[in-house]
Amino acid sequence: MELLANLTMGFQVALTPQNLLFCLAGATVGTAVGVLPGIGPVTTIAMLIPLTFHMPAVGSLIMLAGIYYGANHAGATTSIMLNMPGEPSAVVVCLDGYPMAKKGRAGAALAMSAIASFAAGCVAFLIVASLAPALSHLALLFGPAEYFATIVMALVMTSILTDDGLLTTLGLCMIGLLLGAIGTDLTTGDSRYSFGFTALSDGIDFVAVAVGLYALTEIIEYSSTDTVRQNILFSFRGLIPSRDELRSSISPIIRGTGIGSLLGIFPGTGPMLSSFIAYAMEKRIARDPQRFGKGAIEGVVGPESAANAAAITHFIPMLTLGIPAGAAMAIMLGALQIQGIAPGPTVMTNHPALFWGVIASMWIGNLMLLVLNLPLIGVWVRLLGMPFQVLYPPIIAFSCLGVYSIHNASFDIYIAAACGVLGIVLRIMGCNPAPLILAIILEPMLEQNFRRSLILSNGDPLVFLTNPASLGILVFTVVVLVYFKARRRHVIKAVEEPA
Amino acid sequence: MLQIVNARRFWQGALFLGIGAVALWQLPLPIGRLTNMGPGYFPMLLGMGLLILGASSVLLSLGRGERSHVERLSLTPTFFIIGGVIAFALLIEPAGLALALLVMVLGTCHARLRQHPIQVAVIYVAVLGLCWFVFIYLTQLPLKLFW
Repeated sequence: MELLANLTMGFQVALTPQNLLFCLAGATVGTAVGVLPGIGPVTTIAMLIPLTFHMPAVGSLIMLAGIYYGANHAGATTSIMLNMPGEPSAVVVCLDGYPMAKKGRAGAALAMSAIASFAAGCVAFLIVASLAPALSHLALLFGPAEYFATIVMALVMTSILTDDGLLTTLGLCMIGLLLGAIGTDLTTGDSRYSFGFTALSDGIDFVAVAVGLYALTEIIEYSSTDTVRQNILFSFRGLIPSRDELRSSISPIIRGTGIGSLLGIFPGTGPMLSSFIAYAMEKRIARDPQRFGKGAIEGVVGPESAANAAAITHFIPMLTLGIPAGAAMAIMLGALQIQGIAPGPTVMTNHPALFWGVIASMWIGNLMLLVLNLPLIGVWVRLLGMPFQVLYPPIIAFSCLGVYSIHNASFDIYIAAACGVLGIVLRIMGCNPAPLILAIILEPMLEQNFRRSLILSNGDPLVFLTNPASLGILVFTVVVLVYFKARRRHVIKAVEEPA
Repeated sequence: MLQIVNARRFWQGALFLGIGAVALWQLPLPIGRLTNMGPGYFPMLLGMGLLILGASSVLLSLGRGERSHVERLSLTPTFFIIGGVIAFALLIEPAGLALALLVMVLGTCHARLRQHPIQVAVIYVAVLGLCWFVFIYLTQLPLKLFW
C-alpha cells in the first residue's frame, strides 16, 4: 500500500503541466536524435545537459530520462528502414527488421516494435517502482568498504559491455580516475594535477569530457566514413500487424522483457547485451530457426522489448545507490549532482518527490513514445530521408556553447576539444570510452570510501576481503564477469551465424 | 624474432605507460600513510597501476606471427572539426558569437560536406539563429552577437 501511495505522489509530480511538457520534450528530442545514425543517447544527453541547469531538478531529470529512453527506442526505426542501427542496442533489430521491410511489412515491424517497447516499459516500470525502495533501504546499511566494492563492481563490469579485454577496461578506468582526481582534494584541500592552470583547480567538468568523448568523437568518426545518402526504398501503408504477427509476438515480448529487466539492473550489461541475448534465445527456441534473418517478427519484438526493459531498469542502481550502470546513467548522475542533490540511498528519503516523480514519468514517457511512434512514424521516417550531415554543425555548435555556458569559460571548450582527440585515439585503438566516463564521475566517491575504509580498519588493506558483504560483492563481480565474457562470444556467434 | 603482433594492444599499453608516468612524475605531495592518506596516495596507486597494466599490455602484444593493424581513420575530419572547435573557443569572447560560429561552421562543413556555398550559408544562418535564441535570448549568457 505504501507503494501505491508513493506512486500516487509520483504521478502527481509527473502529471503537472510543466513536468508533462518536459517529459514530452525529452521523448520527442530523444526520438528525433535516436533515429539519426551515428548519434547515440549519450551524445544527446551530453549536448543538452547544460540547458537543464536552469530547470527545476525534477523537470531536468524527467527530461533527460525521456531523451534517454526515447533515443533507445527510436534506434529500431532506423534499423528497420535503413538496415543501419540508430543506436548500438538496435544492431540486432536490423537482422530481421530490414528483411521484414523488404517484404513490405515495414509498417507492421515498426508498429510491433513500438508495442513491444511499450509492453516491456510497463513491466520494467513496475519493477523499478517495487525494487528501488527495497534497494535504497539495503544501501543505507552499506559502510565504506561495501560502497568501495560496489563502485569497483560498477567500473569493472563495464568491460562486459565492450569487446575489450579486462586489461583495457582497467586501464581506462584508471585513466578516468586520474582525470577525476584533477582539482581540489576533498579531504585535504590540496590542489592536484592543476599543471599551473587555475581553471583546473575546480576539476575537469564531466560535461566537457562527455561532449568530447561522445559528441565530437561520434561526429568525427561519422565524417571519416564514406556514407552515401540513404534512400528510403519502402512505402509503408498498413501499420496494422496481421493476427499471425500479433500472436507470434506475445511470448517473445514476455521473454525479452524478462531478460532485459534482469540484465538492466547490473552495471555493464544494459540494453545492448540484453537485446543480443534475447535475439539469440529467440533463435534457439524457435521451432523453425531458418526463418531468422529473413524477416521473423520474433527477431524484432524480442530484442526490442529486452532493450527497452533494460533501458528502464538501468535506472535502479543510479537512483538507489548513486552508482551509474552505464555511460548515459553516469551523465545523469552528474546532472543530479549539479542540481545540488547528493546521489545515493538518501535520495529516496530526502527527495521523495523527485524520486517517485522520475519513476512515474518513465511510464508516462513510454506512453508518449507509443503515441509518438505509432501515428507519427511517417515524420520520423521522413527525417531519415534528409541528408543528416547538415545536422552535424548545429550539434557541434550546441555542444560547444553548452560546455561554455557551464562556467562561462572558454577553458572548458579546450577540455572538450582535448577529449575529442582522446576519443579519436581510443576509437583508433578500438576502445569503448564508457569505463572512462564512469570513472571520472565515480572518482570522488571511490576515493572517499577507500580512505574511510582504511581509517576504520586501522590501515589493514585486506579489509575489502575480510568484510563479508564487500567480499560477497567482489566475488559476485568476478563470477558474473567470467560468465558473461564466456557467454558473450557464444551469444554473438549464435546471432551472426546463419541457422 | 619477437615483434608487435597485436598493434591495438601495443598502443593501448603505450598510452597507459605514458599517462601513468605523467601521473607519478607530477604526483601531488604529501603521499601520507594508509591510515592518513595525503592528496598523493590515491593518484600514486593509480599511476603505479597504469604502469603495471601498460607494461603487461606491451608484453602481451609481442609475439610471433602475422601483425594486426590498428584501424585507419582519415585525419582530415579530426583536424577540421577539432580545429573548428578550438577556433570557436578562441573567438567566442573577443569576437562574438557570429564570427566564432562562422569559423566553426566553415571548418565542420569542410570536414565532411564540401557542399554548395549557398547550403553552407543556410546552415550557418540557421545555426546562428538557433544558438542566439537558446543561449543569448533564453539562457542569457553574457555573450556578444557581434564584436
